[in-house]
Amino acid sequence: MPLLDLQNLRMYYSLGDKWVKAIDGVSLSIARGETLGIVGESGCGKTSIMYTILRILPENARIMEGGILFDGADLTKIPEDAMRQIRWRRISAIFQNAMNALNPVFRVGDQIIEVLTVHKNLSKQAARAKVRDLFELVGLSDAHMNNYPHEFSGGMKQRAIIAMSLACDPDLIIADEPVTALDVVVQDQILWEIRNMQESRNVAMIIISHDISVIAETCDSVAVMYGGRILEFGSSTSVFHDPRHPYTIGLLASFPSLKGQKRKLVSIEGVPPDLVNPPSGCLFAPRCPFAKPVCATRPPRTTIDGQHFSECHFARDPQIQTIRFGG
Amino acid sequence: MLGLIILVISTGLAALAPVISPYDPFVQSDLLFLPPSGRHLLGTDNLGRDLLSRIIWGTRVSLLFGAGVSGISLLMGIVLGAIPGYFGGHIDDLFSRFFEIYLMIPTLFLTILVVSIFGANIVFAMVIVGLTLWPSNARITRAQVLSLKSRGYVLAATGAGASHVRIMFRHILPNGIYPVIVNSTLQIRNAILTEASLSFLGLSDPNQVSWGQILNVAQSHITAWWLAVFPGIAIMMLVLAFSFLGEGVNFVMTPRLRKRT
Amino acid sequence: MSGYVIRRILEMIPVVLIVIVFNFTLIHLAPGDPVTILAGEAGTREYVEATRKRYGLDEPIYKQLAIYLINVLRGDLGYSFAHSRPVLELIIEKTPATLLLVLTSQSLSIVFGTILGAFCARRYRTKTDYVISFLSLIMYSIPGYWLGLILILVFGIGLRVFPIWGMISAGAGFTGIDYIKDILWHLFLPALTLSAAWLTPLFTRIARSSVIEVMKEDYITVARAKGLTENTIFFKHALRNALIPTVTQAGLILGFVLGGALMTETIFAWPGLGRFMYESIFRRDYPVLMGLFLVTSLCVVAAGLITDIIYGFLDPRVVYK
Repeated sequence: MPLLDLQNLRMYYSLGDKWVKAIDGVSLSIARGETLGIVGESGCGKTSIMYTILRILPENARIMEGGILFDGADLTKIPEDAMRQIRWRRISAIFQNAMNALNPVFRVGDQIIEVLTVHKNLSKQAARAKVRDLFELVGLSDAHMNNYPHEFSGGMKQRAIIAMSLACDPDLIIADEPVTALDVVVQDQILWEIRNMQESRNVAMIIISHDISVIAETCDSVAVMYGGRILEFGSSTSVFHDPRHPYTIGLLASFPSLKGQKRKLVSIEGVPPDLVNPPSGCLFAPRCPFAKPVCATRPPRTTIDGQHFSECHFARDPQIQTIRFGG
Repeated sequence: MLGLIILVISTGLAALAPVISPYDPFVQSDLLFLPPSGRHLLGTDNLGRDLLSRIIWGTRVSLLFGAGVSGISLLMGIVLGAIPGYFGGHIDDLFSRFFEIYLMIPTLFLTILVVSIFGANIVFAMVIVGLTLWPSNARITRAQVLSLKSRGYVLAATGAGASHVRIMFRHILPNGIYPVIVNSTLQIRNAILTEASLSFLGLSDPNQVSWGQILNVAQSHITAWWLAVFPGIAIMMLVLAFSFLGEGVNFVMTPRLRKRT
Repeated sequence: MSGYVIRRILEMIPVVLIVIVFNFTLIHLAPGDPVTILAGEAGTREYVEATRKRYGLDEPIYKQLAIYLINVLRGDLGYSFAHSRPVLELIIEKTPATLLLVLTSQSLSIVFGTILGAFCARRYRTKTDYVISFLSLIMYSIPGYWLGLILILVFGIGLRVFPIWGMISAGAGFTGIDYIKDILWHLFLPALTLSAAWLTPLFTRIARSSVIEVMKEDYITVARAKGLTENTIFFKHALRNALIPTVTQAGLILGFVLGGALMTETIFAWPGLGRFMYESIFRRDYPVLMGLFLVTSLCVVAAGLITDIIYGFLDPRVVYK
């Protein structure tokens, strides 16, 4: 049984009389100890997934349909106190923008101690000891426990956030753009540490990023998200080496490769779809160089093999892999 | 929105004061301390003057004072705020120090002090109060200038060789002006309250009719309750009008700002 | 932390000097002979001459400034002829009454206003929020002294519940507990006036917008993700951040509060500095006025300093500048 199973999830934001369809029919699953990457442009709904799973959505958000099965229980239906037990204790998070994720008036160490005393009922001393271990794990000296967030550098804050997410030994960690705000060298270190920790503790991870290279380095499986839907999903190897959706192909093409030939950087023309009035046919059709008349209807989910599927009319057509994007 | 309506009515009242007041506000009569009645809708005061007329005339003073003070404050504030913001460096540091010190002065005391020493003249009072209020406008202007001066179009204009003055007036100020306008409505409101306070203490221009003056009389003759109640309501309404106006302006300007950027 | 405190104190010293110089400038800018300001209009010939000598008014201006400065620092603020006592002594005598009024009103307002504001923020955009905010706005638009007059009308004269004059019942000779009760009874209306008309709405507004701003911050979302209860999030994480503007404002508005106190004291004949100022205006007792101005300015500076120090305790970011 998968650890987390999103079943046809629909979550909309209400803006006055309009609905913004942030998550419009997403089905994903992740097994224990597995890493799943969700990649997509900004605004495609990927951050919303994190908020929806943890049920920390703003007032104007509503889960319209679908289930979030976590270890058997449907998170959309359990009462708030039950949810509170799950938060952080079993599912924790690494937030984008660590700059503001720490409360400026409390010491960093205390903020981590807080989750330990609340969720694990540890005494202050025990909690302190554990935080010291966590700090060591992420490469922070424990002298920093008594410092305030503004005394930390960006990289240090990110490490602290990572340490905090591990504190309660959760089953699943959702990381939203965990390294985007850092410079490349630090990025590399942190990614390596994340991968390390994840493997040694057998924690399942969902990594959300717009940066394909981050996902490629750390994830077992990949979901490509666009306009609130998953356009392609599969193991990293199959999606990256055998992409079956024009959007995935476009994404791969727009990232430069350090090795390999120097080639012109490609960009996908056009703008992301309007989430209030999404197109009735294929969401990507307006920007797709391969679009044909049939694309005016919603593409079915086509299984390529095993877990790998793609929502494109031409998923099985080898021709799509010859698509060239302009730019 | 609502504020605008009240404001328009008040301005109308003020302008038409001589025409519509039932009585000359300065004329004294023998009918002292009449409670509200048919002939004198709001009663009369200690010198037999009709209260309604005095209140109507009082509108003039309040509006005038508010406008005058705010004008001075606006002018000085914008200029003295834009300069430090634009040039930065030492001038800016000096300005910040200066501003801090300014904040320390108990403004009402100062105003009272100055007016009592130098005499109670409405124009003079306006100048003094204006002088106490300009720093807040200056601070806002400075912040606006600071944030706008690194915007693309400013840099473009500098590159094209525009003079400092031109940049300031053509490019920065029109975009940065909105918060200052909102602040000004607040200042008018405070100015009106200050004027009322001053005249309440007996420091107003004896040639003018002011609501505070009426309240002054009301204080010593507290049983004539109409003298206390009505001017207060008038003050409250006018002040509220400006508060609403300020919020309205703020509301209108903000989405517009967002659309621009 | 102590470094921060010392730094702030040192920064205040030039400010204090500037305030004194400003006072001096004011004296000399006044129309007429500065000696009138310093000696008051009621002085006798000899007194006026003596004052002239004492302040060195025949000397060049910079010498005068020096003399004035020294006098002030020695505690000599002049002599009130109207009261036949030194100005400083009079001021010290009247300070406790004002202190009582101001501190009571301000504390009540801060507490009540902040609770109200936080309460509103938690019910953001609900009917309760709108109603309270609107009432707050109305109260804010009422001149304090008008409210005082109305209260006098209603409670003092109409219902005859509270005394409306002075701080103690004259001639009653209460002592001990009765004395305190008597003062409190007299304190009620003036404190209510000062606090309700302006201070409370102000703090309500500050608290409300501050809490609303803080609740939007990322670390609050994180706190929620951490599985903390709403109450913990609100009282522990949000409030500590949100109270910072309240504290800052509390210190900064002292200048204006004193202005309000002036009004209130005048109406209720409360024997404090405000009333003293009012009387002195009409007596044209200039030495007193100048002295009062100087003292109040310095108090405001001191309040600013204390606020800064308290702020340093609340917000760790500011100490390490």
